Amino acid sequence: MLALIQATNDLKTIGDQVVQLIMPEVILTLFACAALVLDVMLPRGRKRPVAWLSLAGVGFALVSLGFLYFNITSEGKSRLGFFNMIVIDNYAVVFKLIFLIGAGLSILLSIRYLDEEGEQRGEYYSLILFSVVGMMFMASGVDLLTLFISLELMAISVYILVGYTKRDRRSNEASMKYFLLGAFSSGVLLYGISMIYGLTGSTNLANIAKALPIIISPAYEPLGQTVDLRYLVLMSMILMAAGMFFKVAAVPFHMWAPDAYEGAPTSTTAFMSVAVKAASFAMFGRLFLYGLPDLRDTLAGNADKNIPGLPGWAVLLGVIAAITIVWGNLAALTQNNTKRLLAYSSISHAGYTMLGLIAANETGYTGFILYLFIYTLMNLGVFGCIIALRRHGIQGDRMEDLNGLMKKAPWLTVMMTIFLLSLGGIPPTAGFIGKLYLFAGLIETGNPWLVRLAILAVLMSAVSLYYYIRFIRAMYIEPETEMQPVKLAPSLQTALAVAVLLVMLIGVYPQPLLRLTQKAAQAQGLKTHDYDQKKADEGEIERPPGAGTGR
Amino acid sequence: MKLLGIGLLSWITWLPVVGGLLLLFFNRDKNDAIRWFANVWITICFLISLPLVLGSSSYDRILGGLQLIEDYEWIPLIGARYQLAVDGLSVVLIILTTLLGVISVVCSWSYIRERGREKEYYIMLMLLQTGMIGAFVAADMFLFFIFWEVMLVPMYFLIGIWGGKNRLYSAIKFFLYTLVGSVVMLLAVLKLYFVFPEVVQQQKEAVQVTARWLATNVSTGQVNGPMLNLMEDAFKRAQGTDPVTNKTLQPGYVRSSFNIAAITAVGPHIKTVYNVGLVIWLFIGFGLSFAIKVPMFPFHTWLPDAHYDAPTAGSVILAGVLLKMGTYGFMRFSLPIFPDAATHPRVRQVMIALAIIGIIYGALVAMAQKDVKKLIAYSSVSHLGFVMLGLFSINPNGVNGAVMQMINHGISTGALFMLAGILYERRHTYEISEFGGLAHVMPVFSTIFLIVTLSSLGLPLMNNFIGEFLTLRGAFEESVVWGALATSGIILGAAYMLWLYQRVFFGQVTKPENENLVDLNAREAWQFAPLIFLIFWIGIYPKPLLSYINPQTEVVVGQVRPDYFKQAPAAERREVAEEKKEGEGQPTDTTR
Repeated sequence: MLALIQATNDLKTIGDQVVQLIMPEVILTLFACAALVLDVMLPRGRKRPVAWLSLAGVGFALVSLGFLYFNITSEGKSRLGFFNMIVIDNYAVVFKLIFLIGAGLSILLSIRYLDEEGEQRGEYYSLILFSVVGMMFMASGVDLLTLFISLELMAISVYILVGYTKRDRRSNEASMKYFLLGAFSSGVLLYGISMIYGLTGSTNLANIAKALPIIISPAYEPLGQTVDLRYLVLMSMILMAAGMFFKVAAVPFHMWAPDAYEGAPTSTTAFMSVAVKAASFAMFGRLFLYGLPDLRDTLAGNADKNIPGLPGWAVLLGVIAAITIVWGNLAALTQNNTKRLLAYSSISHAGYTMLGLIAANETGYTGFILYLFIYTLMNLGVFGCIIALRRHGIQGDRMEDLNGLMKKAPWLTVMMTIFLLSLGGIPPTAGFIGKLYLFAGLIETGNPWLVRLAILAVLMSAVSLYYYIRFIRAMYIEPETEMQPVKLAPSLQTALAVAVLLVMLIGVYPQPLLRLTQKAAQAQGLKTHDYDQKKADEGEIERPPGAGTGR
Repeated sequence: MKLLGIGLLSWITWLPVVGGLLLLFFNRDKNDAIRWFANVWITICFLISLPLVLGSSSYDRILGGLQLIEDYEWIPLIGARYQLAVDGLSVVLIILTTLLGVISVVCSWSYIRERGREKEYYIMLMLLQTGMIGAFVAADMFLFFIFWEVMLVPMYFLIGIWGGKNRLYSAIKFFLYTLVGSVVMLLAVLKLYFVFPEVVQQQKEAVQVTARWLATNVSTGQVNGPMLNLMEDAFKRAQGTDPVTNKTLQPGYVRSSFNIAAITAVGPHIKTVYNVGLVIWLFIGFGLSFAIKVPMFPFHTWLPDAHYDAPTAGSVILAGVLLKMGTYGFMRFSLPIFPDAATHPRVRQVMIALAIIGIIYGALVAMAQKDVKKLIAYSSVSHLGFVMLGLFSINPNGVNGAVMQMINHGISTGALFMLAGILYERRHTYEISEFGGLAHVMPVFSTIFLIVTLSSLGLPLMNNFIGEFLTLRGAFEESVVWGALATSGIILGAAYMLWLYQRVFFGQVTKPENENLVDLNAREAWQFAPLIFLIFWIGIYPKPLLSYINPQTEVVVGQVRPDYFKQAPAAERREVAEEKKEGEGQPTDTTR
């Protein structure tokens, strides 16, 4: 294993052999297979070593990722590999870091929980690892095929994980729903992909980005006569966007999320609410910022020939983000099942995250990545606390189960409070820094519509505090309804402690993480967009280098 | 001034929360130890804030402006710095905060023993204390915002856990109202942050003139060098130079700044680079947040609920300090940063009208209350109307009076809430009709209540008289109608307070339960001593307090109405001009 990691580090061979570029994925795959084998060798009921083995795999992959970062991308360079199908840049590296942290914490959260459910088996961990492999390719894929296959690798693993507690009917139902809707959305996505392939003749995002400006000009004359292909391009863009909206659970494609989150075993819910969402966003960003940057703005029409201009995907995303934020927050207000409530909350967070893509400046992209990073920590933390409530005979996912928790487990309550306040964006927690960046991105554009969007988003984040405070009220103020003590497994304690420390640390001193995510946002190929294009062209505005520039 | 390498302001700010963290490690059953520790610790926190006004290294009130500056790099990527500094306004509010902190902890001694969960209670009070002080000392808007929001959470718990009957409703109402205001402010802060470098680059000279004005004492003409340097640093960064090395900024360092003083210098010039509309929108963004916190008339509905259900200490702090956050915000941000909006006739009319409605409406509703605590809560709405009226009179008298009123209201209303709390501890009710004739049973209590009542309604020789007098003088200076309307609030104030006193204390003892009420014990009586001392001191000799406030007031008025000091008759110049002769010899331009 160390030899493998060494291979990542060995720069001399990187020039002609590109396997090093995917070394973290290779390591994870090996460990996932090893976990399967180990699972067979261990006697029933003693499967815990599989968890430790998978955790070790995540650790080795992290080390290997670290080598990639320091050898290649830390200076802002990037490297293509495998016939330009994958790229290693800071964007990919930071997202892979998010997935690995998410996976590592999820494994720690799961160990005791699976015992409690009586489902401690090795496949669970290898499925997590396989899905992480898929996610990592989603972050670095720059080819529609790579992206789609890795998406499916992730999705299929997660379908199984959702239905993992096979004796639980809710879990089965959730898995079925998730599978059917997920398969449908994959189909929609694939439809869009096939259309864009038909239009541009390539599955490579860079080639697509090159071809698009020609195709969408209203005077495109491929065979000697003018063809307006813009509607077709838009159609394919909308289909791809719809597929992605499904995956990130944006309204109106969010129906699966509450059911799947509620039915899935809590540890899986934790994992899929953060890692799957982050991965889908990673692919979303790649697809739209790398592949379709020219479709952002209005597709120019031609007034002379009476051809109207068409709105680009910034408008689509803006509308969807607004609906998602509003609906996610409002629907969460009335929920009584904590997992279902958090599902709606995570829907609204998907809306917030999209704000970064819409803002389309460096601040916005930084916020986009930063927020996913922070969201991973805080949401895993909240789910970890809910997992702690799963005790003998108590499901632990009703609001009443939290009643009087302060008396039973004060430290757990304090940690849960910090995670909840962070989700609500109250300083000095990490969530505040994340939201600050997203809103700053929108404000920086100076576009009146985006400012309105920011006002809406910020007001809805005040609304969201209402339901986060409900948790806090139950924990601190309501009297206890059942007396069974809460005991935290050491692994769970570790995971929660790590998460809470990071959340507070990022809240108080965000500089290192900001720098890292800013590097990711500066990755080649993420095209920023200047809403003040006209002014900038005339040279009126000279933008400071650090505060976001239109490149 | 530094202790162990840490600046005085950092000590004052962080000491309470350190105490809170230490309390975490106490065994929660050892209530006596916890209570003693909290009382001693909060007293230490008060003592350590005293060097601000006493001793050799204290705040120089003749010089004015931001002093005791602490400036460290914090998040260079967004230009936020750890900057603490105080001016006269902050100094008096900090002393008020630390004093009320001690009093609120002391006055919960027996109440909280009864309610239980003492450890969490004291931790929350400590956390709240840090949040409030931090908001007053922050010289960086980002830091200010963090402290501003940090205050919400402990207050939510104080009301929600240890409050009265309707506590859950009141707590969430308080929380959401204030939160809505502050998130909107966040957007305005961000917009200011993004316009900052632009304005500095395009209006460099004008901005520097304003900066110099801000750092200059209007009466004596002295220039506060460190404060000017603080602003110059921000301007240098905005032009792409590192102020320390004088080289071009390294990549990763942004040009914008959150420094409040620098933003204040930039504020008046936003309209030349952008337009007045933007200034007014920004004013509304900030103003909404502060108006909710004050609370001004249409946004006041959270206040009676929150006060009614909060425990006594919570009410004291809420009335004494948290409401001042709003008026402090107007004085520190809204007026000087957006002078064009503040003097915009329509904006000003609306603000004044709301303030006067608040004065009269608050007083009338207070008169109709059947409950001691709600009455006091509505009286707060009325009193804070005076503060807002004084601020938006925008002349030295009005603003000085407003700041005086902020302090006075903290003292008098804080004391009233403590008195109401004592009644509640005795009888577990706030109903006025449950009492009557208490003067026979509790003579000491009645005496203290009388003093505080008279102070609250503005009897001469007591603190509120000075504040209200100055405020009304300022209001009359601008418009007779405003002054006349506001004065009616004072009459109403006397009416509801005296009527309350009559119903509770005079006449025969009507209820048998009241016949054997115990008078104040030593702790309860002595906790009023500092407040009563202040009531008389400010009432009889307000000059020391005014000498802290006045330089700041003049800067704000001069910033908002640049022509005021040119047109005003010589008599308008305040007495501080006497001190001008002493300080005139050596202008203390202590450039680094």
